[in-house]
Amino acid sequence: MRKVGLAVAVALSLAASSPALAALKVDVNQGNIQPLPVAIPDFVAAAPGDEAAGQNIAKVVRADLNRSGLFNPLDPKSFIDKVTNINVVPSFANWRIITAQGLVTGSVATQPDGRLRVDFRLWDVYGESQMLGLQYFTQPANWRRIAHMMSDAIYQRITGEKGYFDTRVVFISESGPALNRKKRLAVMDEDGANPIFLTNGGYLVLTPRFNPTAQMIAYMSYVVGKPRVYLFDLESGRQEKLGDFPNMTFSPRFSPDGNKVVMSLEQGGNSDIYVMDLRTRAVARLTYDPGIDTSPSYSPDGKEITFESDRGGSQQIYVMNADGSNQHRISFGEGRNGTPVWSPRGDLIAFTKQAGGFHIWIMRPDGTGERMLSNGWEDEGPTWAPNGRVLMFTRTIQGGRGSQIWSVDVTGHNERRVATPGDASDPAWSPLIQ
Amino acid sequence: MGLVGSLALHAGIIAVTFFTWAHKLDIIDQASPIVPVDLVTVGDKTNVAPMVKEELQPIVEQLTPPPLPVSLQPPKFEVAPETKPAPVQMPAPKQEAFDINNIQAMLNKRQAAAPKNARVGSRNVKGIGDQSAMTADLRTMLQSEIYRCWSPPVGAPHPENLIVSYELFLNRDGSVAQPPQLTSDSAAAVASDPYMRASAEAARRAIYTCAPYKLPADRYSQWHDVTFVFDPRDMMGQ
Repeated sequence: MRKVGLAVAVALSLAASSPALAALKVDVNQGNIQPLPVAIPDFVAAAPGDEAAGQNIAKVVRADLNRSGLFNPLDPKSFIDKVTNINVVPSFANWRIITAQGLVTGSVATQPDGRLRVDFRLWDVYGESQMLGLQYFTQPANWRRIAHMMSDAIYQRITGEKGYFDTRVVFISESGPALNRKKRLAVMDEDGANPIFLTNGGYLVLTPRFNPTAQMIAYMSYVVGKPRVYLFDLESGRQEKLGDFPNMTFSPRFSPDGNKVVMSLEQGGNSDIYVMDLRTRAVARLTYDPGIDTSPSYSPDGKEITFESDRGGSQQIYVMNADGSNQHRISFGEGRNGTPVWSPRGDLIAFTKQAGGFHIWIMRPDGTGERMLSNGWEDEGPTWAPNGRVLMFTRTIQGGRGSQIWSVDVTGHNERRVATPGDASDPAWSPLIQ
Repeated sequence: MGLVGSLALHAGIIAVTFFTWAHKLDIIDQASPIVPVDLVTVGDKTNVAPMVKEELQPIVEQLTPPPLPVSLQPPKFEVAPETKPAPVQMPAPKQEAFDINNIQAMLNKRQAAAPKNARVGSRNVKGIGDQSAMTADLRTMLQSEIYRCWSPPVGAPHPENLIVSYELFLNRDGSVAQPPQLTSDSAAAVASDPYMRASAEAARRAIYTCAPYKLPADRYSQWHDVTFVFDPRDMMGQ
């Protein structure tokens, strides 16, 4: 009898100690958008001769990530630990003290064959684990590209989307007095390094655009006084007139597969959109409207084209199928809207809105969700980074003080001037270099 | 006739309503007096403590039915007794002697006896009388802390797909007791989508950088087990 009573008592005590409390559910729908604090010490040099490369690579990675606005590379002077061997797990507590949430350690070693070997690891300081570890071999002269590729890898691992640091930008470099302005076709790295002039400024060039391999540029030029679309091969330096049309051709852009160029062709004051197959040189007409149809841009899947037209009375943005069918207007906001560019991610179209000034805006391909990204005095001609996350555009400075290239995040934050040699306009972002 | 009466009645009601309204509006016009209020935390006093269950006393009184009259008694049958086979001798089960000083060992044995893969019922059972009522203020406290630390990956496509839930256990000093765990549905999505993985990692960084959480120690039982649901939809476009 006593045993039974005790068994009941034990059963009751078990029941009482079983966890019956609910987890406290907390909805988190507000945050504090801050760039991620990340520590990037200079890379460990295998030999004294590699020290400069180790410092330079770390410097470029710090600059890349800082420019994105999503990372905050911490000042190396604040570091407590000195990394001497990247194959040893770091003392995470010492990196937490300086508020680092990510840590990049790397090493540089010149190989017997003269190539540079670069290793790096990305660590999660709070999770105390390695997030990424990669190794590159390259010619020493290529160290800058390796740094950009590392920045891309870190960016992708942290944000979930591809980076855009190992890319180039083609643009129009402007120099000389206002009445005798020289406009030259130029190309540079995304961070403004390695600028190269492709034309000598003897004739006017406009609207350069990269093809999907970033090896060819389509642009409009007045080579013999007549505006025509040309192709420029970056590898060979060869230029070629695209098609032999009697009248002006302008506003070219490649299809996502690189096999076609869509552009405007003017005939008797009326511009319409045409597409040329680069393999067969066959030309097809896509619009037949008496209005001015121009600035075509393919969707990333190549199935649709967005363009601007004044067929409705004022300049507005339209979308049609790639064969010219189903043309319909998508911009119904205030002002005039032009130069639409489809995001490589497919989710947005960037454009220039003229309503009390020129500004860069974005909207969804169905015309909803219009949002302003930049509001300089005169901002126009947006171009997307290959990850669809950042845009560049031309900013004309009030009072005829020239033009500059600026970039802005798709959230409307992180507006920055892009380093260019002198005045610059009409940027076009390349895809990721293969 | 009835229609006319009805119309008259309705008109009367409407007229009375207007009349009353006019007066009401006059009254509302007056400014309401300002009443000073002191805000105090009353959770400790008003919250519901675990309920003490009263044990029901078994009814001990034996009810004995009155004897049935002889005429209603069932007839008696006589059955010849069967010859049962001799039962096989089984070893007597070992009876453990109960030791009042060794209850813990007894309990340990009891747990070990449970099957290893037994399904455990959901722990998140909301119980009445378990101090689970007044948690709104704790929720607000945790929100105000985690809001400071969470930097979601804004600008990613389809933010509606990037909602992640983490369950974590906190120590009494507000520190994180063990690595926070993604809830099962979040974990599945994280494994297949790089944007989701980035979203989950941003949430986990927020949990760690915000710790230790400053919460009332005397109510530890209410906040030692927390599920954070990170929803970046409202943060997009910022």
